[in-house]
Formats: sequence, C-alpha cells, structure tokens
Amino acid sequence: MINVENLSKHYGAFTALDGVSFHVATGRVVGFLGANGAGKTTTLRILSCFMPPSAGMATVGGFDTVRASDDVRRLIGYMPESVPLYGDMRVVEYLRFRARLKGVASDCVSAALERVISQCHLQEKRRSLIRALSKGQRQRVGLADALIHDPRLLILDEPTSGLDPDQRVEVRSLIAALAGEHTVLLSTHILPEAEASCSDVIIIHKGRIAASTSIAEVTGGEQRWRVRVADRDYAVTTGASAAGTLTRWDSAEAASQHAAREVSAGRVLLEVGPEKRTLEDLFMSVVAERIPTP
Amino acid sequence: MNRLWTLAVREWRAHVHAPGTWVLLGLAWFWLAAMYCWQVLPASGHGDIQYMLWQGALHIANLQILFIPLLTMRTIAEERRSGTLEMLLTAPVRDHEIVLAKFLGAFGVAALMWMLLPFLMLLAVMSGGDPDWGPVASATLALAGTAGVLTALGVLASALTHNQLLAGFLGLILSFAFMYLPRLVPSDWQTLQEVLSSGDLLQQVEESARGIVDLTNVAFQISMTLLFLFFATRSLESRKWL
Repeated sequence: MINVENLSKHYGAFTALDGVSFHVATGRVVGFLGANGAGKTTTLRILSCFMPPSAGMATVGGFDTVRASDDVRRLIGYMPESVPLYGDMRVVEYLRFRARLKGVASDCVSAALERVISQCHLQEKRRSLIRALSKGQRQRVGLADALIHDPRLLILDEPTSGLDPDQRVEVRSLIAALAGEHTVLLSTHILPEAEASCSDVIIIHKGRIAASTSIAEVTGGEQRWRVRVADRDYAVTTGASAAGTLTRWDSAEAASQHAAREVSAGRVLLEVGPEKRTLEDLFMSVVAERIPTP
Repeated sequence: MNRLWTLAVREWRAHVHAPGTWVLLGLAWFWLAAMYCWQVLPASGHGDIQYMLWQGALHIANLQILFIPLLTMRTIAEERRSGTLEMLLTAPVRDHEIVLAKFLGAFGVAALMWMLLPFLMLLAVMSGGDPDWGPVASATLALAGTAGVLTALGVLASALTHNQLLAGFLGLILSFAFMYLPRLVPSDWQTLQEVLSSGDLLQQVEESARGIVDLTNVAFQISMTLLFLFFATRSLESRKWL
C-alpha cells in the first residue's frame, strides 16, 4: 500500500528526513514511532500530499505522491495531530461538506454520514457547533472526517493525543476494528498504545528509520529473565512486591545462578521468572544505540 | 466543478455567518446613505439623476477600497493560522480551486456593495425619477469589475501571510495603491501618468456611469483579477518549494 524510498526533506539547512525507506503492506495497522522532532509528522505530510519531499519518492496504492497526488488523496483519510476543524460549522454540516469535497456521490452522502457518526459515537453531538466540542469530541470528528469516504489508507497523526483514558480505549478499539478492510498508519510516541493497536511498527529517529518490525516479533522474540531479591528484614516489614533489587538476565541459567548466589548470601528471593520483551525495550535500544556517547 | 461549488458555498456561508461582515456592511451602508442624503442629493438639486448615478458609483467604488480588503483578509491567512488549510490541501482539491472558491465566496458578499447602485436607482424611480437604465447597467458592471479586481487583490494579500490583520493591512495598502496611484503621479511624469491612467479603475467607473462601455476596460479588469488569483495560487503552492 505504501512504498517509501530514500525520502529526504530539508527545511533550509535543517534535515528533517534523511533517506527514509519503508514499506507498509495492505491491511496492516502500522505504528510510526519516534520522539518529538524525529520526523514523523513530516513523513505523514509527504504521504498525505501536503508537501513534496526534497528527494526520494513515496507511492500510495501505486500512485506517486507528487505526480499523482489527486489519486493519492482520494485513497487516503488523513487526520493531522491538532485536528483543525471549522468551529463555526455544526458536526453534521462539516462532515457533509467534507464528504462532498472528497467526491462521495450525492446519493451516498447521507449513508456515509450515518456510518461515521455511528462509528465515532457522535450521535449526541451531530447538531453541536464544533467550537463547543471538547478535545476528545473534536478528535472523534476528525476521525469521522478521515473515514467519511471509506478510504483504503488511514493516516493518523497522534490520534489519541489529549484524550482521556476511556476515550483512548475507544479510539484504539475503533482502529482495531478498521484493520483488515483498511490499512492504517498511525504516528504516536505512546509505546504501550502502539503495542496494543498495531500489527507492525516503524521507529524513526533523527530523520532516519531505526527499526521496522512486527509487534509479534518484538514481543515473541528472545526472552529475558528477571530476578528480584531483598534484604531479609526489609522484605518482612514491608511485604512489598516491588521492593528489593531487580536484575535482568539473558538466559535462565544465568538468572538461576544469580538467584542461588543471593540466597546463599542470606538475601530473600522475591521473584524469579521470564520477562516478555516490550516495544519500549526495542525503542530504547534502537534510540540509545544512536545517541552519541559524550 | 462540484468541488469548487462546495468550497465556494462554504466560503460564502462563513462570510455571511460572521458578525464582522455585517458590522462592516452596516458601516458601509450607513456611510453611503449619509453621503447620499447630505452631499449627493443636495448637490444634484434633488433632481439630476445622472449626477446621482455618477456620484453614487464613485462613492461605492471608494467604499469598496476599504470594505473588500477587510472582508478578504481572513480567507487564506486564517486557514493557514488555524491549520484548516492542511485539511483542505490533503483532500482531493487543487490549489487553484481553493483560491477560486475563496474569491467567489468573498465576491458574492462584495455584491452586497456594488448591487447598491441599481438599488439606489430603484429608490429614485419610487420617488418619481426616470433614470436612463443603460448607464445604470454599465456603471454596475464597472463596479462589479472593480470589486473583482479588489477581491482578487485581497485574496492575494491573505495568501501572503499567516496573520489576518497583516493581510488586511497589506490588502488596504495594495488596493489603495492600485486605485489611486494613477491619480497620485506628478503631472510632469507624463509617460508614467499615461501608462497608469489606462488602468485607472476610478476613471473607468466614471466613464461607465456616463454610459460608456469600453471592452478594453472590461478586459483589463478580468485580466487583473485573473493575474492576482494566479499569484495567490502560486503563493499557496509555495509550501512545496520550501
């Protein structure tokens, strides 16, 4: 669905993207991860045809984002981070306007409206002025806008930023429901969220792709072992499971040897067992590798 | 065409729903009525309809210099500032369609200024007057042409900045310069004065109010409108060159 090759973007002397290449297969939900300023939004803006790259190329559904930007824009539903909307319009009026702009046939507009209003739980707010909506409600209107023409690709820039925890869960489940029929590329810097919603992740750091893998590969890869020990008195008085000293080991053998040494030294073994690798571990390892040591 | 119409209607509605538009229009109408009652009517001896038409057209043309830049200042600058331009440009819409829609929406509201001229003449008829409708039509056409040029200039000013107040200020300066420069050039700079006077929009309005329809003037107004809209489109496209 998305093919990006050697994409670069310069703003004057500043290089925002430096030879970025990646591929997104149809039907996948891909998390585009990176710290603030890593180049996530610039990449998404190029893919959504808002701006062209300085070098390299990107295709969406086989169409070049520069030479066939009209075709690309018909294929995508894009939601920018700040969700800019017309505050003077009512929700239903705005969505109807966007549907017409995106070429939804006149006789299908009403059905499309009802579909996205229901998908994004906007039934009670359909007649509200957009300027009177809360941040979370505006976010849902932005999502409904991105979905109104039933696009093949959804590009969502920080779709849950500023939302309450329950609203985050709602948006996550909506994105999960879209998987399969739609390809979703969503940027975020909230790693557990990407782990929960995405099938694949691409990590960008300082304008370069630092990793591109599937969530299953990250979490199902080689395990580590954790050993937690504490001084006898401290453990008895507090009884806290998080107390003591935690160490991580690459093999079960190393972990058990360490545990045995600690026990023979008179300490209490609080915990020993396998630990799943998380996306956070991968993120920290690839980002840390690229942070120059002083 | 469908997208252009959708965008233009949205733009027109945004102007119509904005209280600022009606404040501006109210002030302009009040000023025009005051000038008419206290200056034009007494000077015409309360009977010279040709004089009323000529003065009415000139007053409306001058009011447009103030009204239209203030009307158009938010068209693109505000979309840029609020980020809604990103939403528009990532939908399957071309840059020139956005600029043209902004122009059409504002021009539709500006019509509430230049359509005042035939309205004033209707009032004259209701008071027992019998105006010559040829000059009324030609003067209205010239005012519409002038409004077109000033609206395009205002949209261009709005496309050049993120700040709508700056856009309004820039639009006022450009409009004032475009309308009055031919009359401000010293008389000893004859060649320059001749060149600029061929594009003197106020002169064109005056000629039209006498019933003269010069196709060169019409062509000039359409060309200037298209030229300014072209520059506004290029300014919008400038995000691609950064």
